[in-house]
Amino acid sequence: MTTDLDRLRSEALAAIADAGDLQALEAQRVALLGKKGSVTRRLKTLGDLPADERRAAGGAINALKQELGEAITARREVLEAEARAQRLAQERVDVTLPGRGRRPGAMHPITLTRRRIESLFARRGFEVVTGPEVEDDYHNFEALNVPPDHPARAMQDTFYVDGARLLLRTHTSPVQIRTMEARQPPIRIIAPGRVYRCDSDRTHSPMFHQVEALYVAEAVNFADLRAELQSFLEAFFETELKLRFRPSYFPFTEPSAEVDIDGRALGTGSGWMEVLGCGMVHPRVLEAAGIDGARYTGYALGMGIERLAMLRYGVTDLRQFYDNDLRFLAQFA
Amino acid sequence: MQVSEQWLREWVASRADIDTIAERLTMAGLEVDAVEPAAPSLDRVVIGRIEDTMPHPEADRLRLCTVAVGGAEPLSIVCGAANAQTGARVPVARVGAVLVGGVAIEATTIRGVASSGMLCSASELGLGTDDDGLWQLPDDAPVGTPLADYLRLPDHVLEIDLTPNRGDCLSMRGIAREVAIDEDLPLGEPDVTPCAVVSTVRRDVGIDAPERCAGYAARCITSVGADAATPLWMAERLRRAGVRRINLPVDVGNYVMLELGQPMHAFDGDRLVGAIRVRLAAPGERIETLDGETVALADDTLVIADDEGPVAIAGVIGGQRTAVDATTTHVVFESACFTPSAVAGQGRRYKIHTDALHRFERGVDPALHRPALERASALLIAHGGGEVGPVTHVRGEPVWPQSREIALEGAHVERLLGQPVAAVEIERILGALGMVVETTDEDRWHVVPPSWRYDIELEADLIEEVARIYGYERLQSGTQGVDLPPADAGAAVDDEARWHETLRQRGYSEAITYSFVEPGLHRALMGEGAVVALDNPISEQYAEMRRTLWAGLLPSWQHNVRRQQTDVRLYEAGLRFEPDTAAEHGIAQISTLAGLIWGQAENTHWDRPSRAVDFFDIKGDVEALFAGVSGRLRFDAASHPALHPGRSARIRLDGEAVGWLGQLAPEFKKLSKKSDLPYLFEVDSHALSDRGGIRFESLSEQPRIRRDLAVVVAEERPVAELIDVIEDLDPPALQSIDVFDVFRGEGLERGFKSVALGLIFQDKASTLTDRSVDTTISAVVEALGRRCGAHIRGE
Repeated sequence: MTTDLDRLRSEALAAIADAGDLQALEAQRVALLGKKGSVTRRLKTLGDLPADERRAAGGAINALKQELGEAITARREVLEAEARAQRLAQERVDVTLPGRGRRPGAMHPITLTRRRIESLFARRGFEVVTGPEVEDDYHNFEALNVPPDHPARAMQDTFYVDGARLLLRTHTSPVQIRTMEARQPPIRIIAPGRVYRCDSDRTHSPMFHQVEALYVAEAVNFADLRAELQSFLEAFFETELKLRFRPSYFPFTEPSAEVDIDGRALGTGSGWMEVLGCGMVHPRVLEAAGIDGARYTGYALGMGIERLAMLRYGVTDLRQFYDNDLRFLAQFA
Repeated sequence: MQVSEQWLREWVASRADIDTIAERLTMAGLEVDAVEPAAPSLDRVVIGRIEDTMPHPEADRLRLCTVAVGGAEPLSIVCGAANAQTGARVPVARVGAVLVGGVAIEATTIRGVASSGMLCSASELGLGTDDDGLWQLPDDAPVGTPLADYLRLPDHVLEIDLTPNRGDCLSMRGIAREVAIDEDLPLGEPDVTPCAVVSTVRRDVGIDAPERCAGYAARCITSVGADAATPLWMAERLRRAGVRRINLPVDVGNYVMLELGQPMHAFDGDRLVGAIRVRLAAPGERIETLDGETVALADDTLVIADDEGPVAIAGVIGGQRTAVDATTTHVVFESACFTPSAVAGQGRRYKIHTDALHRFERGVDPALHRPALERASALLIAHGGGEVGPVTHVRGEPVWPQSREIALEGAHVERLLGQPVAAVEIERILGALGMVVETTDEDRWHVVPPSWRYDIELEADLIEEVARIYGYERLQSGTQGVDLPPADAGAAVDDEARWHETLRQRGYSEAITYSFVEPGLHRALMGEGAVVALDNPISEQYAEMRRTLWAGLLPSWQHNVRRQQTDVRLYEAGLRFEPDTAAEHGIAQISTLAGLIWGQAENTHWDRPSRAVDFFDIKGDVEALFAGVSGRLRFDAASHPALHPGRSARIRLDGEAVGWLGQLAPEFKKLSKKSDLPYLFEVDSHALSDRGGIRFESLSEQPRIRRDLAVVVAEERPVAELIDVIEDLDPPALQSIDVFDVFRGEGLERGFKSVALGLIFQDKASTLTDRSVDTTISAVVEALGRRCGAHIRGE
């Protein structure tokens, strides 16, 4: 009996180990431990044995049953692991192949620059205001203290519309006037937008972009303007800057200044680079807009967005901004 | 304005070097663009005298000159100039000299004859452009002297970019004044001693337009040497100032203008008939100007006239009829003060710009014309001889009829600049600028600006002068507690950010195109109709203000297609301009967003073929732009001149037309060699802004039920109508309707299509029963049948 059981054990273990897949293993399990399995059958025939042998034989068969059960489980785990590994291998993808879907486009560098300026000024409490691009002479010139035929008009070659009844605004300054006409101080706005001058060559575009900032309140002075510009320009260029305020002339500000940056900080050489114009709002401009110049003072500043974009991104040819070449635009994604 | 350093230093004895002077002028608001040498190197160029000439044995046009250059042996030089004549004193570039353009002078042999040097014209030396052969130097030019010494070189020229308010600096005296202030130096005075009057020849002057001419002085100088030479020093100064030489009387006038700032004019007295009148042009009058143009004069143009008509456009340009030339012996000098308003606009009208006009339109010192006339008279007779007649001086209305006194307060200086400036400093600065400063109280003054400063009218003008001379760099910077609370940058900024991001994520790149567009394409896109046209476009290509942003996007698309792009997605935001009588200025300036797609629908991918974009790609982009916008978005088939009639739609938001989308019409095939045309959209930006606030609705925990219907309708029936009919029924618990298939073909009658709709139901409060949904579906099918002629497929 023992010998017989030993043989069964060794054959069964060999068969379990030989089972190549889960199906074969299950067949072995049924053949050994199923209702009609060889081990089960021996248990059923225990009753045929003499009573004194029955206990010992029963113990041996049950031990075998347990052992084979464990062997099958162990084998199943091995086979399942193999099957999973195989399935995963089949499901493998080449992770280096390109992903699907559309690549995002890019905002125009002028817009990126404008929005950067807007956000820096917004943090300082300036509201973004816009105005019309086809303007009248009053808002573009006269209210800004530039009477007809004033030599300062030659500083800005103007596009005229409708027999000179109207014009394309030559700067964003008319938005100052429109804003001051509509509200009383404190006024704190920036006015970005397109402006037009009848001039076209390598360094001039007939259309370009400016941002104008205006702050009118009680006790605004030239020292405030200088501090504001210093902190704005340093925030914009993300570096400490040496600025130079150079006396200049704009009909709508007094005193007026042009602001130069020491090029060394921006890596553009040692010279002074003109970046913007500014000044204290001219009393005549306040007066024309209906603001009490005895009570309020203000500063205004204006800058070319292209100029700042060129310095920030290293674009060297102004005309590239308007070609809209996708290879150019993609660099600003 | 070009300023010779040497000349400047005659006016002000600055101890500073030229670069320091340039820096100080710049920081006083007179921007120096460049400091250049007044002449190129003239090393080894000396004054020579041609002792003898003989024909070149081998060449007809060359001559062999013997040239004395001082010291040792004369030089033997071969020369081709026609005026290489015995006795002439000319510049000689000796062997070893290097002339402009790097021309190195070497001992050489020309057609077998040795030549050791070169006789030079002015332009060969880089000293002029008017070339009639060799530069004939005066007879007293010292032979052997280096030419540079003779010309008082080296010298520098400051190029100053003056702002239009500083007409007073358009002279040596004006610039010198600014230099003098900085170092507290005395300013030189011009010699304007009246000339001894030796003749009685005079000319009557009448001013008929006294408000335009504050004063007019005229003087006759007779028996002037015809074609007298302009002295070399004067010619050199004119050259260094960038003024062309004409003849002695004209050169003297220009010299005085450069020196003092007073424009002068010289007439030929023998050609001037009768009295001089300063008057407005009469109807139909014409004048031939000195530059040879004949212009018809407008009747508000101020002219100088004699008995036979206009002889000059006052303050602008003289006339040909009375011009001084080589035969002139009788010179009439005009020195006058025309007001800025008298000449305003004349340059633009007649397309003339002269140095005189440039000064008069900025304002010429009304106290200057009388003394300047003496200066010019003295210079003319010193170099051309002649007999000086008496001055006829007539005055018009003063430039400033009222007192120009301005009250200034120290407190206001501080208020504007953010810091006080010491009273003594204010007084020093204003005094040095020629202002009369009277102290009225502590830190209060009355200030009268000098006659040459047209730009000083208000207290702020005085404060600017104080700041400018005190030095912006010395003024402090820093805010003094001005409160700047944060503010909302404005809702428009957020709306804009949203559409940029939506389009960017869908693969669009942003274009910026000119607002003025090409009329041909523009009209083809928009049809004929009123446009906003420019009076003076930079070219015909940019003559009209766009009524559609497509007029700029299409050329940008072409640009990219020509550069082998296979996939173009562009958008632009900006104004479009529609004539509209209801709008301000009669032009509606409408904030607009437009886009264009062309080429592949997706980026090239390795596991599926690329597909060309179609209508529903761009429609999806438009729908994405409107995501979150309150209001009902509709797309109605409609026709637009730019768009394919079967593939275009009007975009409506709550019934309001807010834009277009569709494929570019086949008529525009010629824009590209490629077979497929782009799809376009354009929407009014304001339509994307109304988001109506976000209001949260509670979520339903009830199960959803979906019912699919396949309905057959006539081909031409828009699917939107089926959806409208269902929505009009307002079925209970209907959440959404999906269109999940449109089928044509087998099993369907021709001219009909089957539309598969998925209706999703979900009740807020209770679980829906199949029965209640069945009832709803029956009502839907009935309504579709009744209103759209639809029936369930297969029934």
